[in-house]
Amino acid sequence: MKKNKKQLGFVIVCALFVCTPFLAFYPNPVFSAESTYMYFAGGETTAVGSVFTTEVMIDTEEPVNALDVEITYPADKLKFLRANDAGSIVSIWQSKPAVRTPGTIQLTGGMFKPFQGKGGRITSLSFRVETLGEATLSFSKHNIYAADGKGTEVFASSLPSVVALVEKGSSVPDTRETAVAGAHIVDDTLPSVVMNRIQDPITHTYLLAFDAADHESGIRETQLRFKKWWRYSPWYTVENPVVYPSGAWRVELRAISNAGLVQTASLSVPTELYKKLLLSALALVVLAVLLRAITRFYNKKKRMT
Amino acid sequence: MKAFKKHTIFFLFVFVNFLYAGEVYAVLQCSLAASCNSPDVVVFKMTSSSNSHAELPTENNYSQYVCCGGVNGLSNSCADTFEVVLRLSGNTNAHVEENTQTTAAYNGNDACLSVSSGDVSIAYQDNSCSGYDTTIASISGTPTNAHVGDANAYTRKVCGTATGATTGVGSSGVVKPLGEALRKAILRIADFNGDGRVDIIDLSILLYYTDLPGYGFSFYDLNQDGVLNFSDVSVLFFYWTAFR
Repeated sequence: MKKNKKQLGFVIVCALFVCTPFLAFYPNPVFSAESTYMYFAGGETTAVGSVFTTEVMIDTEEPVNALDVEITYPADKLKFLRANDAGSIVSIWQSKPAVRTPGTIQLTGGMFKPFQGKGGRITSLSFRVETLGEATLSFSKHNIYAADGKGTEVFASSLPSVVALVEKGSSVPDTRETAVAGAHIVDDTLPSVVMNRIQDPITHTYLLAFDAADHESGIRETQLRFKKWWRYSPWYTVENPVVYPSGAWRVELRAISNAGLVQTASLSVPTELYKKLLLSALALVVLAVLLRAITRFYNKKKRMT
Repeated sequence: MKAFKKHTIFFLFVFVNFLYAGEVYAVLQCSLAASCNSPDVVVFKMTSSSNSHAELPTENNYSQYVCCGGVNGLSNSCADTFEVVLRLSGNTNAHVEENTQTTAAYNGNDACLSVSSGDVSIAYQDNSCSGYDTTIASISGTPTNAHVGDANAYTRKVCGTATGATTGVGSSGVVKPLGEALRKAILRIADFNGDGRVDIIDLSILLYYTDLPGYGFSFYDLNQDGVLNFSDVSVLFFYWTAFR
């Protein structure tokens, strides 16, 4: 028995000896499980008919610069109203927060300045409560990428949020009036807009690349209109980048903040304008020739009679 | 001389029309009809043009269709970028309410308008739909338990605006399938990690170098303007969209 114990001890020591180098050099995940968290802040108990807002947040020990996130919510209990990117760590959106399929909000964006630390605000989401019960907001996808020049995906965990949906008139304040977009936001600075007309090097398509930001209340919408001739098209909503409207000689982009402030940027393409002026002049010449021909025709007719 | 004046006016009219040629812009248009011309979509159906009950487009009991079209990628599904036009009290033989209402009996029977990419907005206004592309329908009461009618039946109007797809490869703004040669050319310059796709990993790599001034400009400077900034990210987004 004593011999068996000795043998067992020997085996354990050997096993430890053999395994230690493997354990020491076993590739560690990029981060420990606790290093990157995504979670919701705010919105715990809300009355039916009211609007509540929850913040989508990130804590990370490692610098990150891109994220692709999908959030699920019960579409039969909550109606998604809007997202607000005021004060967001995301500086450029590939896909702004929006409902892609009922009950799923998707957002994809990046940061020119990597984020590292606690309490990084990605966006806020506002919902209207439709029915009584309990609503769970959760992350069905949270792909976060390290700012390491290799696009390494970091190991991230997430925490869902449970919102109690209670009867109207209970002790929960009714936020229906205060939740109107921008109503409670103090913002007296116009949004900033930068716009460039660029050409992609492969298909040679002209694009309008733009960057609109408002750090106080966030950007509600970006809209574009253009002139192909002498009249503007109606405004229509665009996201960066947009294909430059073919034949347009002037475009205007306006960024509307959640506080309702509007900043407009414009851009003209002189070659297109000259083309339109030339065509108009040509049309005038054709018209003049036609009128002259008609005059001559009538004069001739008059002389004959 | 009278005929001369007539001709002059006619040619001036032609000239003015020429100046404004090509300025008919795509806007949402809706009307009530016995059937919808392709590619228009049925938003909901009604028994008649006034004082009517409604049914969802999937039902086949009513003969009057609210048809909408004029916008790229328009659909009646309640997915993608969508707005509820009206909430119905049932699949068929239904009363309607505005989309701001939350009557439980109306849950799950939404008549929607959506676009695959772009924007849709719906509003309810008295007397006219000024500020919107079109009047989709009108309703007898506000905001719930209403009958429906065509655009002229009632003073409470259901108004809509929609814009379609605006990004992608091609001057028309519509995403076209990429040819193999084009695909390879795009991958050569924008697939930084070489995984055969242009996606968020490439975005992360580009953003990393954008934050490091003076490094690797020629390789990551997608629009070749000598600066790494949001324009290069925009070109990457353009290719990313084309690859979807």
